[in-house]
Amino acid sequence: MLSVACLEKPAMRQSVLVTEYLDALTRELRFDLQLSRRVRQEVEDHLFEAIADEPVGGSNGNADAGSCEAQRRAIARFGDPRDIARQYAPLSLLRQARRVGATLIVAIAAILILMKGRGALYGFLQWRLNADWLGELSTIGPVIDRYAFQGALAVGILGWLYIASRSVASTLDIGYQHQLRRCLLLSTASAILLIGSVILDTLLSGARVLGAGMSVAALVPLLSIALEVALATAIVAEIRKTVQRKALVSLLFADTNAGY
Amino acid sequence: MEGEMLKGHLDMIVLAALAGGPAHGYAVIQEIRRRSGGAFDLPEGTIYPALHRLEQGGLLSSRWTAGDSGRQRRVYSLTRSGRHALADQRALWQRFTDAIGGLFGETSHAAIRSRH
Repeated sequence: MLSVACLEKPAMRQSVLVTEYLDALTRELRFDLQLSRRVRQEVEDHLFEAIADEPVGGSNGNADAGSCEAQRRAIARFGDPRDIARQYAPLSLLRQARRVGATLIVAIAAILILMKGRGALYGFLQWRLNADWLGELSTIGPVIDRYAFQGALAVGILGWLYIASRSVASTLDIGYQHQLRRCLLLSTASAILLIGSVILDTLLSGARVLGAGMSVAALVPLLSIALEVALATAIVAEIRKTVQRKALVSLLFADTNAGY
Repeated sequence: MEGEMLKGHLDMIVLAALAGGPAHGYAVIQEIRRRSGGAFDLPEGTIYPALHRLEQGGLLSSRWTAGDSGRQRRVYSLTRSGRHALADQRALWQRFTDAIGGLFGETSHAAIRSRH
């Protein structure tokens, strides 16, 4: 609720109502901080221009009251902050889904290069998996790793194609919600397989390095594994951000019949 | 004009308002109001999500510029895809209004058939 501060604080009256309105809009857009910053700047410019175009002069001829009325009219014409924030939700959620998809594709490509590079290095240095230490894992580990990675690649590409072919809806209707859910599902499935592959890579590479003994050459696989873990962490962070954004958008729609 | 009907065609309305050249959000609203003779009077805040959506869809591009007052303002312009989309929408809308006009008895059936 906007206050009556416009009349109570004459020295600040030029911007109090506008600032309160912008704060309310920024609060409603908290599900996407980057978007809220841009929107705030655009709306601020809009409101100042709208106020400048308003005829000045209060109903009783008082210029101060007229200025307040001009601000109120401009703000009223702009609309309810929550209603406006809701209209940004479809765009913000799809943009985040695309970010997750892009992060996954980049991570999968980078991990593929790292895995191939490590494989070539192990072959060149003749570093083999020690069956005495790992038991059955020395045989089935690389197979599971390969299939997990291939699964992540296939689902990741499928997910990216699906996400990239979606267009932004003007409302968050049921059909669009289902599409967003599928985007998240495909990304999460690919991420789980990829993380499984990274965990196995870490175990198997650790065993190879320990078996070969620590040397300068061991730094190459260790660094590449560190990079894989960093990429996997980035994916988890993006998926977490998606879930958080979805939850904040749900709050935004909590008081509507449609819900989210 | 019914609000829901307007919202359903908002993207087309915004694209049409930008056909004359680049403009910032406030100018787009003024242009819509002027060209519709005041009939299209949506809550002004509705325009911005549409502008962002059209930009995301590649139909508009935007950049920050310094306004007369020194404040930063975002200026939007039609992309090549945006111009094509507007031309498609215009043709579609023309066919639709002709057909509706025919239904309401404003255009003869022969005139509609001759266009198809």
